[in-house]
Amino acid sequence: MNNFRNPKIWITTAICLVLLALGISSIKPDIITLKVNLLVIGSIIGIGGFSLACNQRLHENNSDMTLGLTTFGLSLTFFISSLSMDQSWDSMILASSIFTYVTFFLGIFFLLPVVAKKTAAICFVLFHFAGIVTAVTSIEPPNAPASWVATNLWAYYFRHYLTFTYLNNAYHFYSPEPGPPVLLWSKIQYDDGSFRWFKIPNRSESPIQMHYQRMLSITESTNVASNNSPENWEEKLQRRNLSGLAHQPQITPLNRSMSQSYMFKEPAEYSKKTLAAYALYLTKKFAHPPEKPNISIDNIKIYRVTHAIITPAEMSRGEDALDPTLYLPYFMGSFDKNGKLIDPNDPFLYFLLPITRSTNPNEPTVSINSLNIHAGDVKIVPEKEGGKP
Amino acid sequence: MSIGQSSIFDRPKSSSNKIQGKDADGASSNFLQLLDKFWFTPAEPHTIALMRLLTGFLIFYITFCYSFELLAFVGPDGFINQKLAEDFRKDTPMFVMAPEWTENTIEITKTNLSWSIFYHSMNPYWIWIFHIGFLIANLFMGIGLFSRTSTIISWFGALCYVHRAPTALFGMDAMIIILLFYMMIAPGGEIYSLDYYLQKLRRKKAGDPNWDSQPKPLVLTNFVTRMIQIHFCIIYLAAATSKLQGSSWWNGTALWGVLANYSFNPMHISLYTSLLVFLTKHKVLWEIIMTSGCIYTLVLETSFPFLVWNRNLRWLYICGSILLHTGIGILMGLTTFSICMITLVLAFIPPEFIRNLINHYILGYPKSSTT
Repeated sequence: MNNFRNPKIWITTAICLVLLALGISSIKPDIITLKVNLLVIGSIIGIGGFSLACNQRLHENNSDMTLGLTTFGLSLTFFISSLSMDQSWDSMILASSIFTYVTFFLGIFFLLPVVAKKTAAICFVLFHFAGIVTAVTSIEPPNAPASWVATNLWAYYFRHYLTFTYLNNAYHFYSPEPGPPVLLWSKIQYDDGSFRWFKIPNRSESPIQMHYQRMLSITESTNVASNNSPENWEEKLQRRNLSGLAHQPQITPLNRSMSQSYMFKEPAEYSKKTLAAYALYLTKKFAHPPEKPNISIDNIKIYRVTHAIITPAEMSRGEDALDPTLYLPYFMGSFDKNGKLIDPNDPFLYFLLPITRSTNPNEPTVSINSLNIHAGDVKIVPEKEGGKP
Repeated sequence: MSIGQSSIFDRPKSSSNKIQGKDADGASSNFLQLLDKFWFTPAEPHTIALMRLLTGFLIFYITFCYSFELLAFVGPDGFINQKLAEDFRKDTPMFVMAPEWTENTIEITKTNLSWSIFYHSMNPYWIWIFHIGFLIANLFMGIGLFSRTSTIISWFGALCYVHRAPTALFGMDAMIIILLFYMMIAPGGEIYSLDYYLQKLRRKKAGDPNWDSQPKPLVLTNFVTRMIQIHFCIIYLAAATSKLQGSSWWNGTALWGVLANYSFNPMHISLYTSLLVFLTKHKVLWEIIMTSGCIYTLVLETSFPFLVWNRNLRWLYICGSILLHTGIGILMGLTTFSICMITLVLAFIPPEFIRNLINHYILGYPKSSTT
């Protein structure tokens, strides 16, 4: 067997490289580039040696001992790697430590007699699928808590494994009901009064379908609803409606006959954080208006828009799926250039800004767009400047 | 085959008649023997190899798609900035219900085992270097060069993206990770790979008279195939039972919510919208199609985990599943997700069928050379 096809040589090289990285880490911790290169190359060579040993075990009937020893060597490589990394790389130290344990137990597994090997394999299968089943069943069904047994089993015994390997999915596709999509519309207001709208997802701006799908997921991540009922609901609603009436032009008040969950959608803490992070991302992406590098952002207004699915009856009447009244915008706040919510007590915060048809029978197609009014896109032109009386 | 006869890495020691039939002593009713037969009967690697090939190219495409806005997804100033990523990882309380007759919950932790190289690589140069490295590994996995090494690195890379960009994920990411997880264990490079052809060349050069032989059945291939099959059944059962909680799946209107969703469906294509308008103008037809679609989805997903194991029904269910996911791919724009699901369902196709299909109809080999 030539040296290139000898897994022991590969593993020894890998161990030497990560030891060198460990040495550099102890003597000259600031030489990061070389250290990272050594760790990456060492780990790849180690995995290469392990793969070679697996291959030879399958094809050339090498002994389990060679495979086992190679796997222990790989475990040692990961162990040294975890010691070589800077403490700030904590997640990679964690991953490396787990790889150390996994490969160590794998090494023992390879050395077991056949019956024990099969038993261990079946035990792994049971653990693996029990974990997946708890991930599936620990999701709350509609209007009820999740199974106590499933949630506790998941939380105490399987969560780490499933999170680490990202096998933690409940597979509830389009259930219990297929819901409407959520969009994020942001108005970026600059110091000089200029502004731009940025809307995601946008088919025409996504270079590829996958990018578009990812944008849809990002908008969906801001749609996790808070479990808490709003405090002082009546007062909140009244304040919102009065502020709407005081606004020029007026913002359509919300009717008390509508359900609270329809009028007001406060996001959960997770979604509030992702919204703030998204605002901060926009401040970096659109820091200045085009060709005006001296002008900076004043604020960013974000609206989470539910695009209601057109009903078959509406479609049969010739209505359009893009009809403005199918968009339900909720104001998610105005953010400053640091991604901080400017006014947590804004009367419109998390409230619906309805887009409705005009009730005037002479103007059946004109809609009242509270979103545009709120965003400042519709302004009253004084009569002396040619505005309507 | 009796327990303990072979390692899970071993090839079969005798003829392959044990693969399909009962053991000679007729003791197949014995639970342990059935278990042994189910998990540890050697299988040919053609199905798994085809799955590795598809998974490799899928993950290459998925990783490549990050390239358009890489730093927005995994960069320190992206959609989830560095501070928030740390916050999600280290300061997200997790609660479980207390073991008492109260509504109380117990906070068990604030951290989770998320990990990613992109949590720590702040420099765009390094982010791009790692990204390109993962792309190369994905490509190698697809073409089957250093198959196992490239599969392990592809799995590692894919997890680095999903852990770092949790808000940008959807069902497809879960499916590709499942595929990569199993491909990492499976001997996926046994055939339909450069590794296989290079090995053949080496053997030919060394004067091996059997240099052109097909790869032998392996226990490990069957073991991984079984795991994928069971996982797929759990996915379908979970999807079906969760749908049964929704009223729209019972009254047959759920399919409309799936088909008329402007953000997902190709409603910007006039032909598609015209078709929907036509349906809505014919209520009876609309009702029949929507209800049939719901019933088809529910019946398929509910019964698949139980009836796909029946040899007579297997092909019906495989075709039904492929049809469902082809429909999802075309009508809902979830093409990659659908290909991932179809790749998973391939696990139910016998390797002999894949071998014959590819050898005869794609590679054009005469029938005798493959048997």
